[in-house]
Amino acid sequence: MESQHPFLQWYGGAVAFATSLMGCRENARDVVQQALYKSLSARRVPIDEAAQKVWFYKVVRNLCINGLQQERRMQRTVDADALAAAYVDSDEPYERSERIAWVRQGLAKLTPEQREIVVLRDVNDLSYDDLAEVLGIQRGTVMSRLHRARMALRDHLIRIEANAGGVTHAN
Amino acid sequence: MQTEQQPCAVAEELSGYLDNELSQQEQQRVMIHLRNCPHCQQLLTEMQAMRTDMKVAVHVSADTRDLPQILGDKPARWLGLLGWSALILGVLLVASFFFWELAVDLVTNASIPWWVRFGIAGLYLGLLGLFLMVLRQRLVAMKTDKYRKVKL
Repeated sequence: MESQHPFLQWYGGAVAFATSLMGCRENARDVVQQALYKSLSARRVPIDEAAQKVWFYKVVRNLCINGLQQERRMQRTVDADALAAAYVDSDEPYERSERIAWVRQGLAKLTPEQREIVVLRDVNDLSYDDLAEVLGIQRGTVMSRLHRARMALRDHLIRIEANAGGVTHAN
Repeated sequence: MQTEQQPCAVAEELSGYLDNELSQQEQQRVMIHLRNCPHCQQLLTEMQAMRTDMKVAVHVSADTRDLPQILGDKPARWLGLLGWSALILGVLLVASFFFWELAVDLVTNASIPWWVRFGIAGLYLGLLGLFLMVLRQRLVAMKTDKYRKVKL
């Protein structure tokens, strides 16, 4: 068996990121497979690992944008409930806490722009420089956009939590 | 109450502080502010908790069933490479033979008037030039990043 390809270490994170954009686990898998295929067959790939990571996430993002544009042509839009469900791993070992379900719902309520930056930072651990490179924005914009996204997620979480609390009290 | 209404001056930098992406000076400024601002302390703890939860909520474990499929493409790649190089070599050989014959014929064949021979040579050279122009444009387009300005 040959040694693991460096790109494979980002597979899980990349699927999570692609799910955030595509709103569907299966499509996200397809996109990441395609990205891996492209990375393996590309002739000019950056040599050091940090640059490879940025490059790989860029490929994934571009493929997601392509896929979304195609779906938009077919009049399909990403639905928040479906997206929250798409985050659930099919072979999750045990029932996650309520809080995790809320985080998924909150993430699904963000705008795609906010969702991608939060997921890239907090799940995939990209640095601010890498984020600027992958998203094609100024480094100065990264911090403010990220902070706004986090605050939006926090607001959604507070609202979801309040709703859930209200329901349990009513019961 | 006042802190609830008015966002603190360091609000945005709190994210940078959490991510360890601030310069030393900025970091110190946030640290000093945090000492006397319970509102921001609370916010920071919340953001930390949110980050840990998100890692659990979103992360996908690499599915082992996907990996053989990915790595299995290696031989296909080599075969593709071999096929392409054989094809290009063949086309080059045949084309150069054709052009050589054509050139010899155009120069030596005196039965056709010189201006017709000249015209035929021009025709072929023109087609070749146009082909190379399109090829170059395509290659340049392929190398430029068309996703720079895409809005989601």
